[in-house]
Amino acid sequence: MTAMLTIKNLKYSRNQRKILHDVQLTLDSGKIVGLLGENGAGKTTLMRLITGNAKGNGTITINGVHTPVQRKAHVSFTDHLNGFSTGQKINQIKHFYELVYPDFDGQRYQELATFLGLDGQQKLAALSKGTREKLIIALTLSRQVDLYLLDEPFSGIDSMSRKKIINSIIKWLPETATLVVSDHYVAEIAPILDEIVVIKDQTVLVHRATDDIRDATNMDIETYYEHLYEGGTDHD
Amino acid sequence: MTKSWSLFKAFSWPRFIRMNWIVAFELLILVVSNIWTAFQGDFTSYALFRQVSSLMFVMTFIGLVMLAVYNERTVTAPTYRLIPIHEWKFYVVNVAASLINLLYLWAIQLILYVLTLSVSFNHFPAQASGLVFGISHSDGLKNLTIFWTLMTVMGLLGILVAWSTISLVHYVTKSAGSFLPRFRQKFVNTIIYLVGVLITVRLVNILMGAIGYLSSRFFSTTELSSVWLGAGVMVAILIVETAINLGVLTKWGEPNSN
Repeated sequence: MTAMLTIKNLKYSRNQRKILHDVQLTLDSGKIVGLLGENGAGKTTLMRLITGNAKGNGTITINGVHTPVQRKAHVSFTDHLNGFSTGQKINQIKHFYELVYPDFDGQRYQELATFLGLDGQQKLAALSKGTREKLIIALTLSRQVDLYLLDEPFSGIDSMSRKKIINSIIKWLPETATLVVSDHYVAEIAPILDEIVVIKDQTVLVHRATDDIRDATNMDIETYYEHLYEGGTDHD
Repeated sequence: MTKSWSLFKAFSWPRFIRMNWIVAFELLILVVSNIWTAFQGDFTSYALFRQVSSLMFVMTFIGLVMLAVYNERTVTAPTYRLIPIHEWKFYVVNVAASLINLLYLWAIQLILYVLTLSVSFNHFPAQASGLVFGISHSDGLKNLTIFWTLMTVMGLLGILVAWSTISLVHYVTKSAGSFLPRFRQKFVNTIIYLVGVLITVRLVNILMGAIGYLSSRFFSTTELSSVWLGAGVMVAILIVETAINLGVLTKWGEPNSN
């Protein structure tokens, strides 16, 4: 295994309020990693820092490159589709992605869109929360990069759509790529996770393999995660 | 990495559609108002020309504001800032996409102007022909070329400086969040807004001075140094503001968080 993502001494403040500090993290290639933490813990901020959209202090390296512009070419992240007008159709957004991302795979997008039931003629304003998330997943996974980031793809989505999204992740995620998926509900995604990273007290509290957690603690991932917040687990 | 040309196409398309909406709206106004005038029996081709002449300024202004909004929204939207391209290329392409679309809007306005002018020319009141063309003067055509060339240069520079000033104020106020607590940000932002207003007032001064000078010298071929001086000042402001904008954008300029 080679290190896909390395974060060293990362800190980030906004309005003189510390949001993340002393973040150290190394993720290997070919892993599906759950980025867990309660609301406001800093999961989205960490993702924005990884992509280079947020500017913190410290070193972030993705597959050997560390400048924000180089990192952007190695990471696929769709930030809530902000910037597109609500009148734009799904096909127009797809066309935009094809234009600006040389690694965008139109064929893979079509397969994903069909699987997820996306209608290219639908306007952004007409999309339900679930369909919007499906579009985000289709766009994100259609790029051919080393690292994929999905920010709370299951929030406010019905269980059938969740299953569909999870299946699309399993089916279309390239084997050598790493996926980081953030959420504060663990149960749904736990079966597909190789590792979890828990953000608490503005830093990475735990980074551990899910198999290791199950073997060593005899707990499922959800229970283990809940114990972390209750203070019932030794973090070492 | 994203190619600048690809980004230019991606940024231009929605702006191009908006500019066409403006043109469509303008044509609709012209058609409706002239049908109404014709219905009342007052329609003349000269009235149509006058309508086009005044509407073109309104439409250009609307286009200008709309493109300024696009400029700022593109920089603050996280989706666009995830595109793998150097910040300076991103900035230049963003402004270029707006500028080209503004030129497109101008070109359409010019076509409408020339069309209605050619239709109505024979029905012009005598004094109006002189005002529009100055062709009755011996050097009229030559001076007209100089006048419009300088007006275009000054206009373009004015627009670029206006856009870069808006960006400067916007970027700096947004970046204040990286260093200051919320209360101090408000204080600093007020100062920045004041500086922005001062630059704008100064800019309008230069533009008005240039237009006044050009108008007064319309029939004269004497030196135009003060106009070029005004253009030079605007170029200097543009270079300084662009450098600051790029520095702020690269170092601290974050898009909006959700």
